[in-house]
Amino acid sequence: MRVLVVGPEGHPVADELAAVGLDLTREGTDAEGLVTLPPDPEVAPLLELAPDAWEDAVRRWVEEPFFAAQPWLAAALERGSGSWVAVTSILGTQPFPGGGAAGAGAMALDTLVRIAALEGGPHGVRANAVAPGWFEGNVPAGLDAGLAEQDTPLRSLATSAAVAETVAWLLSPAAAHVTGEVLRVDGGYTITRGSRPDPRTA
Amino acid sequence: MAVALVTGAARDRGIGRGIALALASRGFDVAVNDLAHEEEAERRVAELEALGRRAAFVPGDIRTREGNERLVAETVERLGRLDAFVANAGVASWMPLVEVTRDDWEHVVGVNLHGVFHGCCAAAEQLRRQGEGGRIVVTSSVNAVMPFSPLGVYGATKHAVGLLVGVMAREWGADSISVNHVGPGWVDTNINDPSPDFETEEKRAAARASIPFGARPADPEEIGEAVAYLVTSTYTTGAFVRVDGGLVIGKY
Repeated sequence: MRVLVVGPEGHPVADELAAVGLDLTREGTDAEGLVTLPPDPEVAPLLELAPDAWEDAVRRWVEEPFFAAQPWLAAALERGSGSWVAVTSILGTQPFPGGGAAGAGAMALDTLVRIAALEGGPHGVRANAVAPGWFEGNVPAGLDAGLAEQDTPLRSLATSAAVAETVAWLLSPAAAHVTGEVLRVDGGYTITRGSRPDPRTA
Repeated sequence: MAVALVTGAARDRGIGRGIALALASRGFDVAVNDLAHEEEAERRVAELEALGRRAAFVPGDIRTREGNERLVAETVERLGRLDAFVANAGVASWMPLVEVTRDDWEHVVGVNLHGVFHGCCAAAEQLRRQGEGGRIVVTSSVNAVMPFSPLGVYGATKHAVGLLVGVMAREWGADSISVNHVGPGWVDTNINDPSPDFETEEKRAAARASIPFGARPADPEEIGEAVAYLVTSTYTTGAFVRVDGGLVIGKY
């Protein structure tokens, strides 16, 4: 399957998408699949964020992925088929102290994905999001990975390969009737102690 | 003497008016903000004063941190302090995602997301300086929980604000600052005039019929009553209060 990938160069999930057999491209609108990748998560209390750091986070977490997806979405609607998977973050699925900027951006993109599912459905276009927890190679600065592992029911961080496998499944015909879903890939972190007061202390 | 600042509160038909009136009836002096609409703002000030409260019009653009800091400073200068901040100003645009331009994005995200964030932070800084806690309420929408087309970017900003309210409530709880949001459904305000749902009387009738409780739009003061509860509550924080006549029950 040909897949347009947009987002930061060198994102650990991008390499793994190629490894699971997807044919990746960085340009054009004719690929059947679209994967938008997020920036690296950063955590900081809201009152310690400079106003322009907040606006920059919103730009990178939601505005850039959305406007990168938009021409692909228009082409997919015209074509009558396509599947968009946005990789976002568990920071957007529930309020973490320290996770406000990334979380607001991730939540906004999750919502746009669901709107795309509403608007694309009648035209054969699906849209879903994958919200990873902390995964290897993508742990926010200052986060104690060991504590995060202890707090995860599966007792390990996700690998970027595990995130990519979920993305690939959502893109594939095996998920032909799945749309408008936000799928957490977090080892169960958010159903237990993902609500620790500050994600930097796990 | 308790003081509230309500953004986007000048319009005759607006939710902000209902909030300002409800707070004044609870004994708050009220600073009324809006981007323009001076004549309507004068009417707001007069009707708040008629309730026996002090009131001031503090015009200004809420999209930036500096803009909000100016409003907070002017409120404190004219009314003495700040106890409650209501981030009410909002805009909407109706269009499918593929038609959204950068200008549409800037407009909706600038007011509904950046404006709310910067306003709440500017208010929280003032409340921290005063050291006596405080109350913050955001007017979000039923769109904070329910994805709805063709209000995609609007809904994204409202969902994001809902997430942000939770983060703020957790981060600022230790300062005794509560942060909550209210979710109006259909209120017959200027913001809804361009909606395709209300463009004909037939469609308005269908919209009324879709509201389980009352089969009518909300009065702005009914939203104000929910805000007044959240502003006077001594324990509620991080909450979302839908005031929509049941419009979105089971729809998200």
